Amino acid sequence: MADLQAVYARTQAGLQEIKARALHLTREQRNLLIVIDGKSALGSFAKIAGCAPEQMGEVVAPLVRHGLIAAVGGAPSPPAAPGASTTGQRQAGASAQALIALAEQIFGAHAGPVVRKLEKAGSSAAELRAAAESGAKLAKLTIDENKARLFLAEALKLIEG
Amino acid sequence: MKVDLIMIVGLGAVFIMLINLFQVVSLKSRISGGVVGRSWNVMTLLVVLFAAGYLILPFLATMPVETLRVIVSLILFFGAIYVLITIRLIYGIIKELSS
Repeated sequence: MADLQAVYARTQAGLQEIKARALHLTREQRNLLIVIDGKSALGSFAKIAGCAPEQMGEVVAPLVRHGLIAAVGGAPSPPAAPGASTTGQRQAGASAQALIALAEQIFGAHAGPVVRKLEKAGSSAAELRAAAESGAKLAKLTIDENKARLFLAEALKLIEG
Repeated sequence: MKVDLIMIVGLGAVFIMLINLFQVVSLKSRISGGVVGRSWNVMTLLVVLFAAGYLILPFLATMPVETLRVIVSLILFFGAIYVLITIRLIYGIIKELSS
């Protein structure tokens, strides 16, 4: 069983996988990859990942094995990923796909309008933030208020890295 | 059944209400919940009621006056509710977009 107090951060490979969907991760693995933030304990992601805390070990192990996430040993911020760009522009570009994946995960079949807003957004962090806030408002009006709040909170975590 | 101006206006009302019914049901799939979704269910029900009520319009001339009074008062009552829900919905949307 995984240490639920451990803190993991997404690596550059993890960001690429969110975009590329090359590894055919399970839904739980993909959810965890999207929401993991390098700050919170692994156990806190069980609900949003869609599995029981005791199943987190099975979910997290393949992500670590593929180098998509890495333990940060309780450090407050994630380590710089190998090959990661230091420009905000590139980071935000990767986050756009992550936001779309997050919207699809949270809103399911109703994600379409929110996804379209995110697709039209620019690539800078400010533009993505505006698109996420706009998408959350749209979701609050037409999908579900609680899911909209969850989406915005997780989206801002992704954008702010 | 006598075809006169009242009948033509009545049929026009029925036609427009059927369009409303089609649109309110079509949009339902795009509004699964949220602030609009909650009101939409009630609005859909009211449009269904209106559509059903309007369908009797071509037969108004054959109805007793008391029945007509009941029907008209019900249409006015539910019409007022519909307007109230619409205004509150618009207020909710403006409030949300302004926040």
